[in-house]
Amino acid sequence: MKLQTASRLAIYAVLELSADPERQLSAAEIGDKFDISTHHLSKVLHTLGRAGLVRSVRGAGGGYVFCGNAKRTTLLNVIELFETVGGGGGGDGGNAGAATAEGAALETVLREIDELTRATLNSVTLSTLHMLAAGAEKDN
Amino acid sequence: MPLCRIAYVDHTLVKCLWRAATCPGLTVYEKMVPVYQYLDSHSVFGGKDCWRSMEMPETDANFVIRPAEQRDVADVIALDERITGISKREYLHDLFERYRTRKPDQRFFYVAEAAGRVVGFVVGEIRAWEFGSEPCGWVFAISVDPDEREESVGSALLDEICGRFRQAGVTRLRTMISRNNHLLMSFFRSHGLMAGPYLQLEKDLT
Repeated sequence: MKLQTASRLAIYAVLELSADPERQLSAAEIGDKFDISTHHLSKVLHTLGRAGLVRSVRGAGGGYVFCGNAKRTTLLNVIELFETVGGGGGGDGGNAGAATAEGAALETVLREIDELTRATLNSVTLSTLHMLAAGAEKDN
Repeated sequence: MPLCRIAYVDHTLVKCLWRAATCPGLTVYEKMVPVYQYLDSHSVFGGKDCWRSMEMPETDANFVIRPAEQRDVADVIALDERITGISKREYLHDLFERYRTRKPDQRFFYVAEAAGRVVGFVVGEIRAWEFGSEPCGWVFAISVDPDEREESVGSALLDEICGRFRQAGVTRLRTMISRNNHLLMSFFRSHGLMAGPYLQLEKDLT
């Protein structure tokens, strides 16, 4: 599965901010860590703010703080702010042939994959991802 | 060394002992035994049994994890029914009896008790070579009273059964969950479980 850039940036941003909900970070600070464009990240943070996951803090030393619940916010919650997960059909081939028996059979298999993808993304919270990241850091 | 310094050191040690003694799987009395023994053998606070006047430090846990007993089965049935909406009276009675009498070193049925009532339970066993799988510990059921959640009861139950699996020489934990049960799936994920090498397949036989 491939994520759109905005989804990936959003996940990095909420992970970085939720690591310490007391800490304010600017888009530039987050961007520096992941080597990503501040301009693009600012747009993503704006969407995250509208969804109530982050809050912007104005003034000197301002930036963003995490204001969601890291134990309850899942990857699917974040990703679906930017793209549809498991929408079925689409892709380069569109839905060509979907009305045929072969097309229906193919849709059944694709739907199964979509459902597994959604279930997986909806079971991994930000806290769990923090834990996985800590494990990966330890391994390195 | 001044007496107050000795008392300070030993009080710290008592705190450590107390925390260590709150490990799951034992009754409150069993947990306190090493603390009592330490205090009696050292007599630093004025002699044998002086610990009785001590104020014990607070701990985070307000529940205990212990093996299920016959008297718990009715509570387990009620809790399971409350959560799943399905009565499994016969199944759970039978399960308890099988776990109590057959292969108790490989089958584990634990409850979490708080204020004299069952607030959670976990059931699992070691299974070997089914579907070609090497021996591993399976968790078949884990439930926590919705009113007692966010208190680490589920984590303590899972830690307990994982400890029992490890003691029995098993190094891998497995479970199977409905992919629609987001809460339970998140719980297991938060404890490091990932998708395994097997996929569950099924077919409608009607």
